[in-house]
Amino acid sequence: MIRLLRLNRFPILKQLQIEEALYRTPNSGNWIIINNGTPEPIVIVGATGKADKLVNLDEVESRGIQTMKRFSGGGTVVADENTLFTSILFEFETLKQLFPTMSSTTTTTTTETTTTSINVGNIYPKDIMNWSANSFYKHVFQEQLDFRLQENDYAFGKQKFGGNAQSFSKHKFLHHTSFLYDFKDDHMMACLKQPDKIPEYRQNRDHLSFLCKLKDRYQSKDHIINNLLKTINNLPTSPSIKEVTLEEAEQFLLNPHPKSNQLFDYNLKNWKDIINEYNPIKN
Amino acid sequence: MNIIKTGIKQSLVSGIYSKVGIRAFCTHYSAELEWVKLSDDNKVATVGLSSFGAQRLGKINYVELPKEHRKCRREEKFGVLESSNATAFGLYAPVSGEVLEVNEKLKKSPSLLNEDPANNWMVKFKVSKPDEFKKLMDSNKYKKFVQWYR
Repeated sequence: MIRLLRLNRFPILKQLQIEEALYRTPNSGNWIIINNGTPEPIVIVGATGKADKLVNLDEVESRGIQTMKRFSGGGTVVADENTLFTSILFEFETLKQLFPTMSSTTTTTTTETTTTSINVGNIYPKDIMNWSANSFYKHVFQEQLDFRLQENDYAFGKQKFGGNAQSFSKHKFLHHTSFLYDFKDDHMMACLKQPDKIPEYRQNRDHLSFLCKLKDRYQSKDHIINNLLKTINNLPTSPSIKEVTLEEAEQFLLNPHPKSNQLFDYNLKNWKDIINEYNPIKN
Repeated sequence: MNIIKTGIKQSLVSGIYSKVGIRAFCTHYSAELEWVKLSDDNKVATVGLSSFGAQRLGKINYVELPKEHRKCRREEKFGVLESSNATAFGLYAPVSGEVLEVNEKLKKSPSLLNEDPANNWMVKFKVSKPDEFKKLMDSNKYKKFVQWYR
């Protein structure tokens, strides 16, 4: 069974807290989460990101925008109500059942690749990245003939419209994506620095030259969400899909688990634990 | 004569073990794919990434390790590895303790964990609860644990 959680303008900070609880709780099952925007702009940095190297902190602070660090890998994004978030949290065994012919590709030399049938232990992060593009999002964006995976990004040709982050644990993986339906050009240019390590296909382009907006290809986010739902309902072997409520997902927050999502404290110039209704101060 | 030779051999072996401590020969493993070696006096745990863990993650291009003197409970997250596929892998303390030393070489050369995980330790902890070492897997149990993945 796959649990489907649909959210609308739900704060991404809280969504990531829920995802971390699901990810770190054993036997939490398989989940797909779709969130249509986050109400306030927020900068989100990956697990190993250095805020001062990736973010113009003074500028972000002056605009009243929070900066958070998520528990998964990947790059930096300025998210707002026009960002579409999707998360796939699957047990490896489930992936193997849904896609039994999925193979793991390892490159042994620059000209030789070896393909082996998968077992749970030889699914590598690159395999999940490839699977997400070739077996899932290819169907979501099937109208777009130039959809492709460019390194760790979803792109039309060489223009990125979606950034990915993953986490791996013993029994499951998380693959989540920020899709840029639209964004404020000014926020992108002003808030984000050019990272030290950039994908090769970016070719030193600035943010606005490198990125593109889904709104230029789709009239509404609902169209994309409907494509997502169709793709989920057409997964191979037709697993049961159960739509669940936010409250059901929030129950997993009660399980003790490591908490790695953090907020940047502009005064202390350091990351601090998130204290909110999901993680209150214990007396 | 054979009995005498066997006896001499046994006493030599036990002599070696008693001199350096049986644990010096024993690598244990956490379920988070880390290897752990405990010092003779049970005071220092050296933690590295198992070769299986290194394979699992693929090419590691970033290592985040804790600061010295940080105290960690067992299973508390103390660091992160990130692979070249935007994938994060949390590092969790296999035993409770205080960080004594981190391997600074890994920050500049994270690929050392792929090249030679057995000989590139990540963190040394001053152990506060040596009994927690018993909760780790020895090499036989670890082989079975890894087999489940294959």
